[in-house]
Amino acid sequence: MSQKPNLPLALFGRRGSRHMLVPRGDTLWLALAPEGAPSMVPTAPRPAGLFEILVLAEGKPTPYTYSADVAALEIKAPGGGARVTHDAPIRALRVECEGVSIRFDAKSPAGVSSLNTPDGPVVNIGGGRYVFSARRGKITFDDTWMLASFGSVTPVVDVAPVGGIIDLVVYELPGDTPLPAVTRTFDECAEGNAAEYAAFAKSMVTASTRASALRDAAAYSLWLNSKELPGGKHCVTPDRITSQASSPSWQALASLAFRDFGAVFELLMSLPEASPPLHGLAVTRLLDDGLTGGADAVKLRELYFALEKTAAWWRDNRTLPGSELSFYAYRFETGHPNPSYFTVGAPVIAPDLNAYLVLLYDALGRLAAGFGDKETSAKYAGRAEARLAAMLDTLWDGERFFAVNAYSGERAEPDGKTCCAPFTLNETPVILGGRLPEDVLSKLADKIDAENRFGLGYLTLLSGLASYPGAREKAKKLTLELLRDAEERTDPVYGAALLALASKAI
Amino acid sequence: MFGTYEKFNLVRAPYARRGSVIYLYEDFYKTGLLRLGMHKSGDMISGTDFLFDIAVTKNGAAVPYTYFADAGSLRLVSGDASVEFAITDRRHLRVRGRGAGARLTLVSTNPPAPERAPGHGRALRGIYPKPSGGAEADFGKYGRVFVKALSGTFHYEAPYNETGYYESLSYHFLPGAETGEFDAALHEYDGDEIYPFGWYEPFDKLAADNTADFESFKSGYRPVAKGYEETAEYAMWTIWSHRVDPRGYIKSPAMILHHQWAIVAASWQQSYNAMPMQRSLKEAWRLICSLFDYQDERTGRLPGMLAYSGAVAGMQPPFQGFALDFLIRNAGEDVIPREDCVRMYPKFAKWINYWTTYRSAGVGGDVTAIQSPHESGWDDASNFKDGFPASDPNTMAFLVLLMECTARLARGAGMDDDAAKWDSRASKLTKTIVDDFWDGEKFVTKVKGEPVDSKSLACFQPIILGKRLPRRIINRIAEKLMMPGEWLTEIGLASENMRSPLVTFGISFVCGRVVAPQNMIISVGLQAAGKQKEAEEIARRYCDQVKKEGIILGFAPYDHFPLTGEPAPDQPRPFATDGWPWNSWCANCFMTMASSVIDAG
Repeated sequence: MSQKPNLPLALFGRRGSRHMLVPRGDTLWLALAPEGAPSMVPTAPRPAGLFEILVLAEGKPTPYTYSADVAALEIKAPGGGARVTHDAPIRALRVECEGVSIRFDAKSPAGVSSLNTPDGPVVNIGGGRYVFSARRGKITFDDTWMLASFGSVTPVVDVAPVGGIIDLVVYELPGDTPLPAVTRTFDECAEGNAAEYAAFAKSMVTASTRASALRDAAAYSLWLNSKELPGGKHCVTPDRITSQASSPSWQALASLAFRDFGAVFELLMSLPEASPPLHGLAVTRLLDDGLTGGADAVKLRELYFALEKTAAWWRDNRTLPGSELSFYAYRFETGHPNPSYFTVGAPVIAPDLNAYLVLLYDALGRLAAGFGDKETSAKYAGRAEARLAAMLDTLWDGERFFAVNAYSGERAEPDGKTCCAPFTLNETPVILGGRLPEDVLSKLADKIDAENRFGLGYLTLLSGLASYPGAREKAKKLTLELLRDAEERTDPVYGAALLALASKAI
Repeated sequence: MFGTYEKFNLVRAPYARRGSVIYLYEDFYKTGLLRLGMHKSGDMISGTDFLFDIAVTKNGAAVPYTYFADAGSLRLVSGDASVEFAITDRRHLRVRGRGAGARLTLVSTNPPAPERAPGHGRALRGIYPKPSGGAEADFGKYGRVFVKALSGTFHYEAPYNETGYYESLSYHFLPGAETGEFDAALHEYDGDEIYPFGWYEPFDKLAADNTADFESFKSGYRPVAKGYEETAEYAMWTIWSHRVDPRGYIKSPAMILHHQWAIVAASWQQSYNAMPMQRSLKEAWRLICSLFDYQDERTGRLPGMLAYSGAVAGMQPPFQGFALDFLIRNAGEDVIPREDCVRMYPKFAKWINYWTTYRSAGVGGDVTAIQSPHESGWDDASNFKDGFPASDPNTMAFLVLLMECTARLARGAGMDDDAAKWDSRASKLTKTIVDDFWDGEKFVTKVKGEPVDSKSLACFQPIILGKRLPRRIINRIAEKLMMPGEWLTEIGLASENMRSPLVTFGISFVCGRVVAPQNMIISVGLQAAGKQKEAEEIARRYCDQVKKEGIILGFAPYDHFPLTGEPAPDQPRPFATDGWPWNSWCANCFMTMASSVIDAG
């Protein structure tokens, strides 16, 4: 087995396509990203429609190797080989073989119904519906129904070459849909995929040469782990193979890696109601980097209204009457499994939350100013200032920020047992940069070091640190330390956030 | 109705009310333990993490209890003390204690995946005291729950493990020191806002309102034949308690199959539920039409099943015509409101055209070929043993009746030419079914033009065409169905001939068991064909079994296989179609047979 180094993930997929080839053991498996109609029997998230791909020589499975890049995957076996690429516009995987036969073996009949049709075998499996259509090649498929077992026999699609050649189209289509016509050659599909990927990668922020490997990895990971939502927008999902879940705050952090307003807009608006409310942070970055300059005015308004809705939600649902500060009611609202400050019991007025909200109000004020609405701009700028003042008054003890119980006012003291680094969240206000008094910023910057190293929150801290002129060297040093370990991380959101940080700090 | 000392308990019948996603039941294996669950996540009970054990407490300790439930409330009794639950139709339940407290303890029973936390608090994502009092808990896919004491006191325990999960959750309700009573509300909702609930009425008023609501619901049914009145109460209660309100993808009130094992509103079952509602024709018609709200605009297809989260893949038979044909025969032409004809005619026409287009057998004349047995309603019947596409006369018989009803709609819409065309197509398809699919003894399913050798009861279901069939066919079908030892058993018609080697009583639906829908369909068909005596005999046998065993979908007619004498295997655990759970499908079939087939001559 081998993979080209330019395929950094153990998965061959494409943005805009459900088709994936997943290595398992010595073979590749065909699968569909878990989307589509819900199952009558809910199951744990997993790829839909798994088929093991076997290469046959003289009717028997033979070992093969494979390599891939973003354009196509190549399989080599004794006597021949195969090529696979995506034909996304027609929801198909294109497979060409020479000198060998190919088999798609689902291994199990569980939950399968299948049928031979004039178009080719149709297999409903695990929430996906495949149609195997041979443009050249001979398909053999047993679609016998298993009496008393509520399904078909194990689907095994065998495709034998005709004149030594197989040209197979594996569609993924809803029922009652005519097969879309094949209009492109295999090579045109592969070239199109490569070109689309190149354009996608180009929309991302640039980084120094020391981060070029990270940039390649992050670009491919974001490309691959992109999921189309109803309505056509794409969001980033942490794991395309198994997860149907995604998070609004992940979209905000992933958006930091893009320099194209349209790409950022799509991510932020894919899941606009964020908890914690990180979209303000993302829009602040857009504004700071001047990326809203040529932006579509309608989209900018849409983004503004989404932020306004988020601000109103926190005000209406997570702020006590008469208070300037908001609280977390649940641990999961923090984005962390066990934030240290919940030792005082829920609800918790936390410094990270209120820092995010300061940025949110600030961003609203700046956007309103851009629309020429001075009154609204002043209103939101005032709210940002008032919240910041309340933070400094209530949550700052002269040395550090801390959280309190919203009802009792009891101060949270880290108990050393919680699983989230206790300092990360309390030092998050560093993201406010120059909005904070110099001495506060300086003391926060001093506290941030590798001991705070805890996932995405740490990246946010370093990003704040990199904005502070007095701590830029420190931010650079800590970022470089992270880059050294980055090759082990393939999750798209972390990669994107780290790339954004590297772009800023190095 | 249900209870420790009643004929039926809540082991098989989950306790609920109209509009409720909350249910209570007696645990299958721990005798006497009542539990509270919620079906809105769509999880089967074997896979849900949202279950609460219910304890009656005195001085903080759990005490034994017995229980009694009717439509109004569920009362747990321990000596002179009691704890009583009443479910509202406004997404909350009330719990009242007299001389005792209550404790609800979360039991997340679903086996943990490797990445998930172990323990019985697993379903809980967070809980916090609301500024206005009470506590709101987040249960992820199960939504949110807000609990508030109206009298007495309430507190909760939810220890959080340092590695990041809740170890457990207990709600404690304690009586007030002076009154000895408590009263509390438990709301379920999604998002941030508690569903508007009006006011907290006195507990007894709520229980009385529930009873009145059930009584009102019952008035939609015709009286049943003598001897079946008590069973009809159970059947109507089962239907009432499985009628869910619009939520998520479900746009209008719908009948779900079961709270615990099949949390879906099956497409064709909405029409099954319409059939016995002959004194509530408006509701019957609404049920028949309800699936057309989800009709695919491009193809005309209706979804197979509805869940709160969306349409479930698959498709079910075009049953609407059969239900309407039956209703019109029993309740007159008023079933179809004239003002609805214009609205519904194109939808019905499109639904037929779906079948004749996307399931065309390619031989002309509206002959169809289904692609899955579920499209016929006979999920594992032996007439499909040769695979698919299969030209199934049962599905085509449903289409004939749907065409006739569509003709009625066209006439009502003032489109007489269209009506004549639909009637003509119906007649032609009937002739095709008779000429091409009757082999002299039975109707045959065909695969690639060849008849499938089968002893399934499905071979006789085209009897639903009634007097449209030649008399010789009607007589032969009636004769064969009444032969002892073939399909007819003491408890109704078996779905596979008892002499067939394919008979199974294991995990099976219609390959041997005696099943409610098939007995209902065939008895209604025989009645339509003028074979009232035979129809009644079959219906009575099935209804007598339900009267004895409860509102259960299917039964094994024997404890052995008649062909070989070998013992039939037991079912090891509850399963959606295995004869364990009470469900709305059996209930509506019972009501149709008991009110309109038996003693209806």
